[in-house]
Amino acid sequence: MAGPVAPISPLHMREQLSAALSRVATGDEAALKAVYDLTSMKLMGICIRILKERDEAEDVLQDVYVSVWARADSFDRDRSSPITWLATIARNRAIDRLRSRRIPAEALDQAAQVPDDKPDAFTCVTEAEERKRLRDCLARLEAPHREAIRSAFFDGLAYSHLALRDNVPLGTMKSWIRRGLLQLKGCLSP
Amino acid sequence: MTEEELLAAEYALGLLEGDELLQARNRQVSHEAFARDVAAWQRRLLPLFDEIGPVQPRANVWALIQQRIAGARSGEVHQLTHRVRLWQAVSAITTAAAAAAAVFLLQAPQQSSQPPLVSPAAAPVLVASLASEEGPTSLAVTYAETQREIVIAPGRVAQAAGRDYELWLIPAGAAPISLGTIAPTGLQRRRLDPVLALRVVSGATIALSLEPGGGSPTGAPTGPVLAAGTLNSV
Repeated sequence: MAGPVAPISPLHMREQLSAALSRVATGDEAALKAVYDLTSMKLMGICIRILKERDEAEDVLQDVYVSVWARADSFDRDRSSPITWLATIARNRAIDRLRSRRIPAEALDQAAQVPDDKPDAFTCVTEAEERKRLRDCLARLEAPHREAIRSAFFDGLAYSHLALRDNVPLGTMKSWIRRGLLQLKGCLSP
Repeated sequence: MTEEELLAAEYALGLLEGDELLQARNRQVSHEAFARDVAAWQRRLLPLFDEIGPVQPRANVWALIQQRIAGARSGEVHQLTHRVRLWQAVSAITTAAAAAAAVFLLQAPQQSSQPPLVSPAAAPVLVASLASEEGPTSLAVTYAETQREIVIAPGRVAQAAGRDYELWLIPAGAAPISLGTIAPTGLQRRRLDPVLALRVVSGATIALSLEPGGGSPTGAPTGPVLAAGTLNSV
């Protein structure tokens, strides 16, 4: 079973994960267990945040690691950090699952109600400085733009779901988000 | 920010659905610059993951993963992962072949009714893994020659409301031949008629396209090709 993970810094985590993923690519099961121990709580948090349901989240979590096992050799370290890769796989898988059950209306209502347990600093995958930078840039966006972008990210909602939930025309939602994304990019990489 | 980069951001955020989503997935596999834009946006948004608290999965989850891996190790799936790697190496070629076949088809649609000139391969079982580097769509196709039966195992095929996935056999140098529409989930078996069976040989390409509901109205692929792979003897 996954024991408690000793607190490590994002940089240290990145190094450990990179090394473990290289070994996973050679078929080393102990290395996959190391990846699991380092990341399963984080990825489970992501899956359950999107799916709001533990059984389904655990199911998707299994898929994620089985897929990591089969695809570790396609991890491109020049393009992506290991945690970006893993977190993105988890989020995309959870979104696929969410969409395949066609998002009942009540899920949209629940979307805002999932408690935001704040992770402690030790389970963060990014440095405090980059978190602050993104937070500051998001804070500069107009509130509806920011909220729409956050809902897309955290709840896995597509344009049509967001428009439905906020009761605005689809075109309005698209232009909110597009304007927000433009502004965000400008702020993050001036 | 270009329109292209905006699309990459929308795709990275998961805002797209239906056709737009499938097109973006295609683009991610086929356009290096677009794939880089997507990765850059994933990286920009990464700090948001740190707003999500960790949740301990139940203890049996690891054991279940181990079981699934053990199954993959001992069985066909393990071979399939090698096939996927092989496919990655030849994907550029097969994609080009599929494109060439599509062009060929446009120029000479009658060619597909030519009698088969190829003899059956010696190997009784052929396998094709249809996948793409980022893994948005994956599918395994096995052909058992003695039973003339094709077995389709969708690994990961997105749901597409109101549209159908259609599987194609593309013999070397010939136009695509429909193998029928497939469901996005669940193991499916098809028995091929003897004439068609003669064309299912090692080296032929199997491709998956997205078509209007009920399948391609023209008998040739009309939608985007989502994945392709080469048939190889096991």
